[in-house]
Amino acid sequence: MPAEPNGAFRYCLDPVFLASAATYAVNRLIIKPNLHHYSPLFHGHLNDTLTVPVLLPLFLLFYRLVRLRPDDQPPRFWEVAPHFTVWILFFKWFGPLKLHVGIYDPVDMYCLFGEGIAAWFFWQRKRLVRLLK
Amino acid sequence: MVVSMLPDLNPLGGGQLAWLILLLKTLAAMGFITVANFVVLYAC
Repeated sequence: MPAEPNGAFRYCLDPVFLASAATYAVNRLIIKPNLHHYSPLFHGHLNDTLTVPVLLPLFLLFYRLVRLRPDDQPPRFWEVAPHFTVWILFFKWFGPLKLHVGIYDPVDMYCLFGEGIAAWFFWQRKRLVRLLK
Repeated sequence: MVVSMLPDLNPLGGGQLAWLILLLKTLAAMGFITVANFVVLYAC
């Protein structure tokens, strides 16, 4: 992992990433195997909710390792938005409708969008607080 | 050639080699994005 000055984005050690990855693991390994009926939340929406906070740090880490990302600042809006757009198109259109893998559900898009915005606010909280002062 | 008309990428070392490296990095990123998205789609 690249060297990180104080306050820099920590990629796989980022608290949002760690909490989201842990939530996904708990859902996949503990909750879903013990559910006796279909749950829209645990079988569907939760995974989509965790997409941005889990995948984006991994993607940004790869870009950093190949030096396409010039620094270790928290994810900017212009880094979140294109990934969000690609994931919406890939997971909610191309996968379900073209590959017949996954489920097309408009609610999932709201989950993905909501958590993406929330994660971005958390990552940018210091900068946003500075702007509000 | 088109490549010879590209401006220097001074922060990356300058010259056509820098453009080639940037192209390879971009292709690597696109490959990573494609593979990772398919892995997530089928595994999660």
